Amino acid sequence: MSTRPVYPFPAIVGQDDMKEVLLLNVVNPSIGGVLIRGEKGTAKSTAVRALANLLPPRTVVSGCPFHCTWAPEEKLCASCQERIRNGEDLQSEIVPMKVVELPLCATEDRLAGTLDISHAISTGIKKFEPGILAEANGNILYVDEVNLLDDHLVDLLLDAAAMGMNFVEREGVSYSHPANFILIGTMNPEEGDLRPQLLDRFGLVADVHGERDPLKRIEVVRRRIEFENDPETFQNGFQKEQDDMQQKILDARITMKNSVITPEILEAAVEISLHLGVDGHRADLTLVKAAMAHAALDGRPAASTEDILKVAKMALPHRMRRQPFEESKLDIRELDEWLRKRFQY
Amino acid sequence: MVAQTVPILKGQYPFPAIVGHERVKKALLCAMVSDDVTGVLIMGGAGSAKSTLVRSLASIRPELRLHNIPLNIGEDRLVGGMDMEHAIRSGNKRYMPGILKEADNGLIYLDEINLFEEPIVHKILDVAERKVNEVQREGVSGKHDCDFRLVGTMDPLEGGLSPHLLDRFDICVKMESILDRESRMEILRRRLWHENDPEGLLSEHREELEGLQKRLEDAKSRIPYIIFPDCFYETISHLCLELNVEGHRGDMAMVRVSRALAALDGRDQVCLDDLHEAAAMCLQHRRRDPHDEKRQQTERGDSQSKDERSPGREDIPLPEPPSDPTSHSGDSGGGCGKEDVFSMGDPFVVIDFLKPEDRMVDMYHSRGKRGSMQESEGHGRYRSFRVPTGPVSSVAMVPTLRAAAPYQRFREKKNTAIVLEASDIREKVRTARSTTTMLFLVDSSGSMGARRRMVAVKGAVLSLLKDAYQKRDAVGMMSFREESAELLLPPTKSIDLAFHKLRQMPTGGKTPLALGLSKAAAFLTSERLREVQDKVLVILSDGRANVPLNGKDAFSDALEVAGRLSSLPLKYIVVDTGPAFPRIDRAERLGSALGATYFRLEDLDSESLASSLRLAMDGC
Repeated sequence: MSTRPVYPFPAIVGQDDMKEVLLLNVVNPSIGGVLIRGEKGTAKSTAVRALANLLPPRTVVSGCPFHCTWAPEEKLCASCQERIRNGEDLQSEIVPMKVVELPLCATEDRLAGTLDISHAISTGIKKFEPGILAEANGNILYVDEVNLLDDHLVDLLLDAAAMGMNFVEREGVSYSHPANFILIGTMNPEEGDLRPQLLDRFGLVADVHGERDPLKRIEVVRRRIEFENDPETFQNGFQKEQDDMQQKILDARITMKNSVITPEILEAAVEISLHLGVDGHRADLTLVKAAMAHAALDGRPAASTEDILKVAKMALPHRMRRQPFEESKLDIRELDEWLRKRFQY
Repeated sequence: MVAQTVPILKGQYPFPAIVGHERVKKALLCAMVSDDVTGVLIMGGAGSAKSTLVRSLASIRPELRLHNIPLNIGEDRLVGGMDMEHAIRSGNKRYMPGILKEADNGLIYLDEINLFEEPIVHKILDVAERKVNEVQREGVSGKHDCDFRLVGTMDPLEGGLSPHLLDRFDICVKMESILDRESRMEILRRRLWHENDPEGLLSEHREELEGLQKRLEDAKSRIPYIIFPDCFYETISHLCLELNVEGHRGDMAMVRVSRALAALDGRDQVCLDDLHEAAAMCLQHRRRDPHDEKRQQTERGDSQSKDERSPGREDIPLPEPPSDPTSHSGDSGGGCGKEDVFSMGDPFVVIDFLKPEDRMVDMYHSRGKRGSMQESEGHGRYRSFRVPTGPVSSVAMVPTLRAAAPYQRFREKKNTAIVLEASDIREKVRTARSTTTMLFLVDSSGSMGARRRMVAVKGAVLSLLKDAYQKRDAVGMMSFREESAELLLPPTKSIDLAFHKLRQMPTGGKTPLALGLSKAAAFLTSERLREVQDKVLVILSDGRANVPLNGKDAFSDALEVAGRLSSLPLKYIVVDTGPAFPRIDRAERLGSALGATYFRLEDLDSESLASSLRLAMDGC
């Protein structure tokens, strides 16, 4: 694969919310993905693609078409287990985590996988040809303009995301394989809404706006032009920052392993959800997980109520119930005041 | 090719560790205990633990294999079809069974059942009822026994399930939101624990789990001997009549489920409490839609006011058991111990599920004719294939190979296992959800200016927008005032955008009704909307036109335009926004000139507006 130059993540000017939700998800993938909403040209796609260079490497089963994470036998996919049964000695391999993109025009076959036609014609034997979901296993699945994705593809995507498995039962093919991925979507809300069900599947959300500060706007353009003229020099200029950031992510992941969940955190998460009238339990769960990741990025093993408040504005806006003639906007200031009163910090 | 093994997902969430949802749990246990209770449908919002609950069944009945049916399953894999590899090798067609065969004696799980294609759900429910799968396709035939439990889950906000499919489920229950703090915290604690250390959570609940398994075993062995008092048959049929239950499946389900409930409770006889509980599970989804009565009203051209609506959701007392219950109470030994309810003859009030605000039925039935699947060119979901009749635009590769497979032994080959001939070619049939484009033509002139009326109109439009979203329809808005009609919003699927435009809509001035009508019609019939099949123009106005089009009388101008419009392939709905008193019939006359369905704003509270209009749209 030819490597097109990627804009360095630390070189993105401003957009701190967006950067933060992305980092939190990389630290703790079980947060469940990110939705970035904003108008055109606000570096949404640039940021997601830039994330690729920050991702920590992962250990996989060498030669597995589904990029199985290295694990005990019973946790591997059907194809790996088959290989073990056939007496093969599986090898591990360290590969970079990557960003797999789902194009809007993808067909169902390409997304889920289908019968390998050429294999069937040449041998007369059925074989499964993996699709994008297989490619995305263990990686990041990125859908640009996710609100424009065809309904039937969205349904498939949700199904796989919910199960962590992709089941294919069509065209005479019967196959299933793991499909654990971090779902990242970007969208321009002016072009249409997302169904609430899909919204709820995204752990965190970031709303981005164009930079209003003229100086920053100039900086955005200046850097972009510099990058386009000479990508390599530009990248080298940010190499150090990027390495530091990657190290920070790795450290945070280790901190996360030893983190403790205090009853106070659980209580704060539940109280916030109840206070805001958020149904369903994904909000509570995401609040806690994101708060833990937030603390870990800061080098602390235990999350505090402060962390919860910081991530509340990312975990809740898309889960607020919409009332007629009310904006479903989260009132951060109100929440903040309420929290301070409630928890006295 | 690796043989399909639907994995028994490791690290299953233990069933007893799920907090709350007692009724849903009970419903699932009924299906686990009784062979007769086949279908359970669970409704609940996003993130309400529906799927967790269903998957956790594996923790109490590990031998019962759970077969997860993917949303895009092909019919060939569901019911079985021709064995392609065998056909290539031998030249003979042979039946190869599908998932239904594998699921024999297992459990089939349909997550998001309302998003499946209806024929697939229909097929599964059909086989569930007949307990046999019979196949005739691709030139092969097959037949096998097929006995499975069926569990479906759905989020009603994503769309409904048609009544005839609903009716096939013995049980339908709803997940309640859990709002108390302690439970929420406990849920969160257990969930996080499960993610970090599934074994730990399991061991904490192992004792409960084993107790539950024992209780299920016991109940299963008890089931064949459960006594069902004769007098209860009459109680059930009275109840079903009172509650407007459609058909007889509800009655049957009541009997089966109440028997299972008695068995679960360790009793040998069904008691009134069982009926009580069974009614809450079996009848609610079968009650006749109160809007049916409303449809009849509108069909009669009769616009009655609210108080005439059917009393569908009132609390109805359960009829007293008809025979003398004391005759049953003595002979059942360790019976149900609820005899006092009988002897006192208390007419007890049916069940919390009949609260007026409970609009489950509305939600179930919310998939009208609108939103059905239609064949489409070039885009949409590839659903089936056919022998092409003209030029082929898109070859269905797999069906083509399958069609060619049986002839391979007789064809001359070079290096490949399969040789295709023109006669093998099959083409794709794609379907896309047929979308409707709705254009709201809103009269924002001075006569509408009385602020309250405009608020009502905006409320109505907003509720329609929400409905349009569920149907994935496109909604546009045009308003007319002063001398002009203006397209405020080209058809869009963004409610947000429509909502903002609506809020900013200026009012005041004269009423160029005729102009508004002709502009709206011109827009809907324009080239850019050529591919939209269903187009609806919803006119919200009081009909008091005062700007003529050609210099004559303003209202007769409007009527003349309306007459011309009535022949266009559009559907019209007129919502009369005029005051109830003094009443003017202008909007009504406009409606009849258009051949429109006519409503008065007063008749439609914003809750039922969408459903009434939907009925009108499907009807006209």
